[in-house]
Amino acid sequence: MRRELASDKIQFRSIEEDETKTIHKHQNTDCTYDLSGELDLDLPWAPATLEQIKAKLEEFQKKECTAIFAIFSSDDECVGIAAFSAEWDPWNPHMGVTIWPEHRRKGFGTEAAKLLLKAAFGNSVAHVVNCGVPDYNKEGLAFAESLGFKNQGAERRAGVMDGKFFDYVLLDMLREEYLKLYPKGGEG
Amino acid sequence: MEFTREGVTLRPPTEDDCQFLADLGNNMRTQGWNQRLPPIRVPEIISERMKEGLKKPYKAMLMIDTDQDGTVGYINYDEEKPRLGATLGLITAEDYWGKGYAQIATEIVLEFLFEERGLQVVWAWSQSGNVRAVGAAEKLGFKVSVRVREGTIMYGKLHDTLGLDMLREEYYESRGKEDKAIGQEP
Repeated sequence: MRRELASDKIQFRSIEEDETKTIHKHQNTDCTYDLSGELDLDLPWAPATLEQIKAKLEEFQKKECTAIFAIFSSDDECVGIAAFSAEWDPWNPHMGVTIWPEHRRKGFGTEAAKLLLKAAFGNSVAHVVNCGVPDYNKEGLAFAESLGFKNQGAERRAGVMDGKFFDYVLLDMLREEYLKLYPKGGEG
Repeated sequence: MEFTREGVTLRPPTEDDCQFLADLGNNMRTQGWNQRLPPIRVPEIISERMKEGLKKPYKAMLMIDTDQDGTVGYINYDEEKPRLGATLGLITAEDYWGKGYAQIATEIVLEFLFEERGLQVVWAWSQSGNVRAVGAAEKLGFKVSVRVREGTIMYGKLHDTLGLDMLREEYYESRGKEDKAIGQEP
């Protein structure tokens, strides 16, 4: 069976009931800010109800050229979520990956990001792909840069965290850069 | 504060403005987005969008009226982060470029956003190919803070999409004003 969005390590699958509950659990505990940002919840620090999570996922699903899906390991466990949006402009889509803390540093995030890049540059007309990270998330910034994204500055005072303003760093990757970094379409 | 200064007045849009607004959106030189959209705007669609916009708090679109030339454009803002920051947008018709109307209109709205709304930052977006707009924004005190490389195609060439911003203390310092309301820490 040919699976486009898959590698030996992970597979993308749709978010159904079980995955929604997993997302809800992590939004209420160890990934509150990450998931609030991904789902565009108004109060990023507040735990959302299951119904609120479902409503936000439904909003996503109604947007054009936008998808949010679960990342499954080869052990058939949901290890995180990925998001991709070309709603405003397919020339410049935006992508994001959130891996649950207990599954980090195992290569899942890297595999997921490579598949998203393959989808953007290999399966669409994207010319430049963006991702964004709050500047307090040093790990996230290092991760994005390790994939080949380049720091293009930050939107200043994008939010407040721990009594201070934070900036939202925007990173991008051009198609020509992707083709050099991943000449085999993500397997490089 | 007044929304009138140096012969420029900002006022709410009306149905009579819809054709003018459609014309601005259909003109490639005044479209203002980071991707080209086809010239299909009609007054009816503009009117519907105006009414939708009124339902949303923390957003405003104001027409730019001038004593000398009448209605020359519009300015809008969206407080995506209420009481923290807003994104500003402005379009003026080509015939009135170079007359300073955009600068005056922007100054009025900046005063409102920083001094009346108490915002910490105002953002704006443009493209590297729009040298006039970027230059005008920088003259007002905006700084290019972020870019998307080759994010825009205009006139057959690739340009960077540019994000500019101005912090609260930069506004007050550059205008020689004292921030009597709040500082820059949350």
